[in-house]
Amino acid sequence: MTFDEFAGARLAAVLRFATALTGDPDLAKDVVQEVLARASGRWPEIGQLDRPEAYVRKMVVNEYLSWRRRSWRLIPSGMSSHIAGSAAPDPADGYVERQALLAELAKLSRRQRTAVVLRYYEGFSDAEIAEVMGCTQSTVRGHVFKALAALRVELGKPLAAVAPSREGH
Amino acid sequence: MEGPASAPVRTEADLRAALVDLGQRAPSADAVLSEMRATGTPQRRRLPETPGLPDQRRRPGRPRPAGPGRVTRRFGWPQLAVGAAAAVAAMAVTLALTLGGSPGRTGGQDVFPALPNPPASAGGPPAVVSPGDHPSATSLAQAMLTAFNAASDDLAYETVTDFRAGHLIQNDLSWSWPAIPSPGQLQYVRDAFSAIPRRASETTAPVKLTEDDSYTTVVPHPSRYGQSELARLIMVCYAGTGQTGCGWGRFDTPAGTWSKHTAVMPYIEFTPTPRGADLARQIARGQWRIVGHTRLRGQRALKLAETRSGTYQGHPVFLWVSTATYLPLRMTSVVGKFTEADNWYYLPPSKANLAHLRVPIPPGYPRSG
Repeated sequence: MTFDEFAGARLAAVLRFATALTGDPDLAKDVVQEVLARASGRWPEIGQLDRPEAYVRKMVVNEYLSWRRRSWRLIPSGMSSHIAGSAAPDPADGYVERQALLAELAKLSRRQRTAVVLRYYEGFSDAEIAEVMGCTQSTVRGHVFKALAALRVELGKPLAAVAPSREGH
Repeated sequence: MEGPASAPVRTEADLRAALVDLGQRAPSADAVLSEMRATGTPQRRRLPETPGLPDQRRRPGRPRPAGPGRVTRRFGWPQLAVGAAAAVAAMAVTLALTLGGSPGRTGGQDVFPALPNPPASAGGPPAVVSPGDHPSATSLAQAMLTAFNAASDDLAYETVTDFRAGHLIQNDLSWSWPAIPSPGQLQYVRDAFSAIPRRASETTAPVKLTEDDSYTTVVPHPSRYGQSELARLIMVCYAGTGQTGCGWGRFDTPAGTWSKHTAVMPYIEFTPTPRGADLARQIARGQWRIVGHTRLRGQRALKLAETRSGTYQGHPVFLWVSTATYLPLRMTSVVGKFTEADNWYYLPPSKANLAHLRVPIPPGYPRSG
């Protein structure tokens, strides 16, 4: 697979992953551009891998974890207090709740967030997350457990037993 | 989804859905690639190179034709009052403006984007389709407030077009960044106004770019609105419009010239109006009712009609709100033969988008001030 073939076929998915990872489309663009600039120079090697995209995503994760810039885009923190809420669920309620969840996601540490995104966006197993993040599986479970507690997400199954299914993006 | 302590309890499915939704906001792959190919290096985010300096509401040198009853941001002649806060703001503006340099000289009227779908009649976009599930007024208002909060750092692009008997008689394009600035924040605005030249037929003549202004200032606290702040103003007054000049506060720019001023001048709020929070409150108070679902600019949208308790009592006014972003897309109002259409765009503050803040100086136009 040439670099152009990769970019044409998979760059959009990598950008979606990076956006979920960073929570900021602009930062995602910066991170992916940095990664592509480096990857293009080494493409003869990367292109020979079984899964070049997995390698590029790992580069994205590493770039994100080491990113020094702090100009995070603010994610909405909630709604105005002067409009009373309604208990009745409807389409707009879903939007507000999702934005609130994303706002809380943005407050997680980078490593916690990375573990959550790899598990719930990419559908990775603990072993795969540990490989990408360069840590042990128990560390991964620790990150995910603390993140879910902060996000007030109720686990359907105990963490060790969770085997998330891969979804196409 | 309420727990015992009234904290929301979410499921893993909620989390997956939120992340997928977030992923959908990714920048386009084509844009990322073309940016890299154009420069050969990654494009780091950076502050714009002092884009144009539009400011608050325009102060054209002649009265505009009366339009429908939209609440405009045009300001009157302000009294000058400078306080200590202005001095602080002045330092910030001076620094920002010093870094800016002069406006580019790259082109004339053709740099303006085409008008986005001006309505040919009062009816606006087509047809409301299936009723579907309408959100409640309260939840819609909450969603809009949340959306505006999320869009506060975006570049707001607003077009206001006025029609008389179906004929375009004037349009005003404005770019404002950040879209919803906070007090103390530097704000860049550009405002380009086109109208039918004087003495030309209002029923057949096309509009012509008349004035293109930019204004940069530090946003004051709302208690200081209407007072003066240090700002930088660039005005281009186009020739061939029948006007002898263009005015902004105490600054006049003869037709066929441009001018640049850094001075204390009246602050005018340029945030698109009606403000999103105002719209949300009006919706929560029942001043708008949802009449159905439709599509506008490629997005699914709610169409709302103003009720008799609304601002434009007695006149047909419609509002379209995207159900993807919960930001307003368009508002149309009709008063007699006049139709006014506002279109709102909340754009990511990319380098390409921020370039719209820069006022181009037409080749051959001398500086007059």
